Amino acid sequence: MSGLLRVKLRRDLRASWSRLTLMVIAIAISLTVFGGVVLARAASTRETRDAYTSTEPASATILLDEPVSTEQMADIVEQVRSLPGVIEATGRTQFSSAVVVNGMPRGMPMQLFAATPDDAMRMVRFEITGATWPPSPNEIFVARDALAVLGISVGDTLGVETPSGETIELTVAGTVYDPSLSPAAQEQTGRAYISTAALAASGRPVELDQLKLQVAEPGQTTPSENRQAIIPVARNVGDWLRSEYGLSVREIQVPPPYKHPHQWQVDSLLVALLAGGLAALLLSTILVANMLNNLFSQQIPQIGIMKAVGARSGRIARQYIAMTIVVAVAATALAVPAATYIGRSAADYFLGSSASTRQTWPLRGGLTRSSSPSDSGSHH
Amino acid sequence: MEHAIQLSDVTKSYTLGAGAVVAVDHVSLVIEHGEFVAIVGRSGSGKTTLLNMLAGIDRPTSGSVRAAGAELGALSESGLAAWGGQHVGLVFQFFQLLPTLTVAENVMLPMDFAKKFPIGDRRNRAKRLLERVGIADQADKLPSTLSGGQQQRAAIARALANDPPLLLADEPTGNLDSATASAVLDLFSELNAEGRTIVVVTHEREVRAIVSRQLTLSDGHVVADEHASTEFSRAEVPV
Repeated sequence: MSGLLRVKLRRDLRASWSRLTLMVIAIAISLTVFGGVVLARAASTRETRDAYTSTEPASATILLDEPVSTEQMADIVEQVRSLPGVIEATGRTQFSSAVVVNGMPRGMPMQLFAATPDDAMRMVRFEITGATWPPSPNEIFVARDALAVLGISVGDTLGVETPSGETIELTVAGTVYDPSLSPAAQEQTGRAYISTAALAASGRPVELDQLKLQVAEPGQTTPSENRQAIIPVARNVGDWLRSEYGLSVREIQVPPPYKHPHQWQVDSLLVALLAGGLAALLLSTILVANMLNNLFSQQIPQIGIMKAVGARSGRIARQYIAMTIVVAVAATALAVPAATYIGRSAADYFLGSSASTRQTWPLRGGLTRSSSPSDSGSHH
Repeated sequence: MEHAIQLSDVTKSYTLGAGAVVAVDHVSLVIEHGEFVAIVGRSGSGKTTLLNMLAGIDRPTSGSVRAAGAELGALSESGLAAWGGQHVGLVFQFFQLLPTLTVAENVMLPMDFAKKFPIGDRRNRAKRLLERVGIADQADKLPSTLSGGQQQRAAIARALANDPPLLLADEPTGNLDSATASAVLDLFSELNAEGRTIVVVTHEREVRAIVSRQLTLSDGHVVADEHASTEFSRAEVPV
């Protein structure tokens, strides 16, 4: 573009600033919505996977028809580790209960995950803040996002009902961030983590009904990402439990490896939002096309004049392309930070406010702090 | 020696809703270097269409146009633009100055496109041309602040930017008062006296006094071709 055409471009932009500003705003808004959704989707998918992976999830979970004592489960775990394909194992249990906070019942149930105090927490881990694993027999750790949902604070006394029907009272001694779970508000369920010692305090024998396994392919030391390789190993363990211990297996769960069990919920929501974002983008495109059409219609006589005094079509076209680029760049410059903010906020929400509370991005940075077994717990 | 302009059996027709309209119908004519030609006729007679074909703005439906040393039908769009910028100066009824460029910048624009004069000389040349048409003091103003007569003078200066041998003007005085129109026509006379070929489409009878030749169009045909030497007597032109 020649010097004079640059001058013309600058002055034309100035002369049409109100129309161009509207165009920039329209494009920026639609780009912000669309970009925010796309960014949220990308971030939540990546961060969810990274965070979930860092919990060392189970390749398979074997549910027993009848629970076994913690001593028998410890024996089973010890032997299962030596079975072909199994690289790690642990016994857990979980149950749901109504919850009473400082004597006041809450309308929302709570899901409790229990592991033995000596669980090494090499798999199915979670991050604890304000305490270390294991909790004392009279302590409970509550999922961070459940605090607000259930109106609980650290130090409160929670009353929960054990599987055997007794009510036990526990003090909230710490909070937990568990990337493998969907947000409490979304599920309308609180989550908490206890040691089996808390259950033992009720006087009844403590029993576990979940055997969690990590499975590796032959010659490998890291958990397999191939579900088809995991299934026969898990089946073999199930058969082994029947033959060696006479245990009845209710179910063998082999979820898609490393796929967050609740990712589909976020994906569904984001797809709906993405459709909205696309609609905004389409509307903005129509609006901008109309505005550009009007703007360039006004320029048609000038294009004719420039051609009449010797301008080639390409030189004229470059001027209007430059004008369009100026609008696009301005809109993008406005939209990118806004979309980034929205995307991060949305990802924060979908990931259970973890990112903002940990003040790190990505999430993995926070989880690595909980890699020490003594600073970790278990669930499911 | 080659003619300044040569039209051979040129026809231009447009397809409208009601059917084809023939604006210029099998016109052949020759204009020599240095002639000052007025094309006259009623509205819709085909004057402007003929001028546009001489300028390369329109292409004929059939026939050939040769002007300022080029066969226009053989030139591409960009070739036509380059040829027009170098060899033809255009003046329009409504001045057609670019509103966001100053008067001097409007005059420099064709130089920018043609690159015939070095960059460093262009502003001075623009100022000299504006001096010549009598509006040097308006050089740094935007066209909208000038009177109609001043804008037309600026347009003439722009037409002269690349020192073209051929000037084409479409109703150059049609939007001016009589005194200003007279001054503009005087300017055309001066430019013709320098040896430039000038073709003016006009309704103004005053033009007859200064041109060397007058072509009268009616329904797309040249119905009269009169030379000053013949006192504009009606020529024998078949309709």
